[in-house]
Order: sequence, then C-alpha cells, then structure tokens
Amino acid sequence: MIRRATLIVMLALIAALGATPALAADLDSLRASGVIAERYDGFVEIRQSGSAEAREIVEEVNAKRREIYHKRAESQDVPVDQVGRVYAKQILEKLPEGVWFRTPDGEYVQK
Amino acid sequence: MSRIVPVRIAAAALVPLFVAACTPTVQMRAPEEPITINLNVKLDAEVRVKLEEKAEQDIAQNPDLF
Repeated sequence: MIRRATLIVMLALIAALGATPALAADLDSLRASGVIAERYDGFVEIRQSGSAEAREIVEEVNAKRREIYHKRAESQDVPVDQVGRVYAKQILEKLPEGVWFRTPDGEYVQK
Repeated sequence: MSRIVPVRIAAAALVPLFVAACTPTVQMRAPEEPITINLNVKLDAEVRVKLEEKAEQDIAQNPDLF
C-alpha cells in the first residue's frame, strides 16, 4: 500500500514538473549534491543511494548520451568506448567544482 | 642570539608534528590542483581532435544531457 501511494505521489510530481524540461536542473543539482557522479567512460552513475527519480535520470541521460556516442563512433569508425572517454574529458573540464568523478581504477575524486 | 636560534629551530621542527597529530586520518579534501586523470584514450591524434570538437559541440547543444 505504501509503495503504491509513493508511486502515485512520484508520478504526480513528475507530471507536475514535466519530466524532460526538469532534466538539466535535476542532473546539475544531483551532481552538485553528490548523488550522481560523472564517470571516466562518459556516462553518469549513482554514487550515493539515490531516489528512484535519480536512477531514472541516470538511465535517461545515459541512454541519450549512448545514442550520441554511437553516432560519433560510427562516423569516425572508432570504438564507442573510446568516444565516451573523449567526451568524459570534456565533460570533466566543464563541470563545476565539487562534482564527483569516477576514475578508470574505480576511485571517486571530487573536482 | 646564538643560544636562542637552536631553540627556535627545534621549536619550528616540532610544529609539523603537532599539526600532523591534529590532522584527522580520514580526509575528504578536494585536490588543490586541477584533476588530471589518465582516461586511456587510444585514438589517432587526428580522430581524437575531431571527436573533441564534436564533444564540444554536443555538450554545448545538449545542456540537459551533459
């Protein structure tokens, strides 16, 4: 019962806020608060146990980024994971301070 | 003068020890220098430059994704 109530509240919130336009603000704030971390491979991940909404954002952002990486990988004829790493570097450069980044050896560093 | 100086040197030498003793073992401190992480990109320089340009554009055009 509680689960269903939570779900309804969440759905109402999502509907009220409009899921997509809120994406940028959510990603930024969730990165700033440390819930979401950027990764060495150009994707994001949950760093601290996040809400269902945070997980949804991670999935959505990653799916859309993956599309872009695939497109670039095909046009340059290079492995898609390499494309992700190039993007990761640029993303890291543009991130505000305080955001967490996961390195290839699995460590988190804070910018 | 000649007696005071060694005392001062000894005192100065002790300062780092006191500081070290007060420093917590677990530190969550942001690095002072910009992070440089080896991302192991194994690409042709030319392709890499092209991709970096594309990345720049994609990131600028999709502020909601990056």
